[in-house]
Amino acid sequence: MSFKETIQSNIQLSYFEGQIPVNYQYTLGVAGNKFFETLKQKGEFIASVCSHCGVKTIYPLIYCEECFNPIDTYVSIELEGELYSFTKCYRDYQGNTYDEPHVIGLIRFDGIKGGIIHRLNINEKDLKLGIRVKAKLKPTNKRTGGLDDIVCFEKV
Amino acid sequence: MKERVAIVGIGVTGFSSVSPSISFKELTYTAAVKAYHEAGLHPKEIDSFITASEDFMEGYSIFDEYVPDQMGAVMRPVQTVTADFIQALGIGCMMINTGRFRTIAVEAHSKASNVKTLNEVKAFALDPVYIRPLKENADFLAGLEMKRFLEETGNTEEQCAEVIVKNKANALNNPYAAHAASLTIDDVLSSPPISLPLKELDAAKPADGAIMIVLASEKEAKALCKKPIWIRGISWFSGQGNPWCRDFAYADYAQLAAQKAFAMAGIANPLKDLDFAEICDEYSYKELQHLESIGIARKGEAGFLTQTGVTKLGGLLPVNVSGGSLGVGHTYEASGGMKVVEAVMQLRHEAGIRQIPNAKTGLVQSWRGVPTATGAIAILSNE
Ligand SMILES: [Zn+2]
Repeated sequence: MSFKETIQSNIQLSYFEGQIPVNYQYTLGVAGNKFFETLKQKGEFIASVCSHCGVKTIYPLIYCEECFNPIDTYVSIELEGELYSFTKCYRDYQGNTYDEPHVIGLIRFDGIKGGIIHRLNINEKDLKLGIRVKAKLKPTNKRTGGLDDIVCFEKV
Repeated sequence: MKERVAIVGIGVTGFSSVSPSISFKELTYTAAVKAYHEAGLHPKEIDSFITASEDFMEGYSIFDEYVPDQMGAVMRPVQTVTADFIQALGIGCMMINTGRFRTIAVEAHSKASNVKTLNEVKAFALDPVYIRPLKENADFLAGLEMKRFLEETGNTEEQCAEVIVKNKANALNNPYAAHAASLTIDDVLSSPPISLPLKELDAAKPADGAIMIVLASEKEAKALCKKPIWIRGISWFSGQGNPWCRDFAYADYAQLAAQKAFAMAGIANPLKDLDFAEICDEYSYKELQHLESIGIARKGEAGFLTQTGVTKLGGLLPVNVSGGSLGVGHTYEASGGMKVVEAVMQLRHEAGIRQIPNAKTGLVQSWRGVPTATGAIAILSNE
């Protein structure tokens, strides 16, 4: 220590409490809006397609991550894909523990860059990388245009 | 590098799980006084100052304004970078390379124990539209990556446990370490689940502490210092930013930074040319994934190298002799700094009972943690 004086006793220790609410409205943007509007109204996923290099991306973007060209083409894709990875999550975002784990996976779609990270509802014995899975969506009248319009992914 | 840059002074507080008798400013001040003492400089003789920090971890927005006084940098040029210490070190090197600065002080610290809602701060770094609505703990991304990494490379959970046993045992030899322990593989494998296959002991626990390093140009370094430690290569990269686009089996940012840093330093065969490596091990599997991505181990062989003792103290290439983040503690943006301090001590041959005999060249690597794909690498040498 480089101090002339140091705290020598526990009862001298003190601290200040501080907190501040932080609240945001995150705009979805052109591509995000298109993705969630299509999901809400048609029950479909869309990918963006780069006319320059041909790369298709989910979640869609208005620019190409690979060649940086602008994008104005979007295509509907299957709700079915392949389970790329999964994890059994035992804690929520605040650190509270679950009795039963939430199984979260990354799903890849054939021929498309990127994927969707979401909940899985799959039997333990079937839960393996590489299996085919399909999105289960909320009924049309319950969809709000957000990530929770997808209930989960299930084994095909 | 255009002009050689050396480390001429290090200051470190040591790390602990809490630090209630001292403020974050006093932590930094402690490290700064030591670094300036070693360098034989008064802060007025330092040309510019850099702090690596992240506002949410500090609990201040525009944290830059809370930085100067504890470094002796009031009325002086100061900047903060929102990145790991090694990235700040790289900026310091480039500033010296301009020829307009002779000496730069680089600082980073962790006061993680001040953050009452560490889980929420980590979750707040997740994408608000595409990931955060799942309301899962941010560690789930590490679990997701670990699962794919193990399946695709053939490395095992037992080999990840070997990393923890090794690093926490290494930390027993490091008086700065906060989380040293003598553990067994079974202790690790039976620890509670976080996000399987990730378990409690797979994740580094936070620690408090501060680091300061003084950089100098070659001319200045030779005048100031008997044992300057040269930065022979330094680089940082961001890989696939969106987690749903990532490969998981390898770390793109580490591969890219290694290629660049090795080219700068003239490293052709890392296993042969390096005497040690300090690798980011914020999660156990990350040490293995980083070793393979950097090119120290071939794909699927990092676990085997660990199990057969290649990476232990006394092995062909000791990895995380300091104890790593698993043993010393996870210090957020100071993580790379802790590893640089270890490398400097090793290269000065001042590392005491954990000294690697005749150490000449070492690699230090950092990763900015979940949910990032950003990391840095530096090659340090005493010649
Ligand atoms: Zn393109």
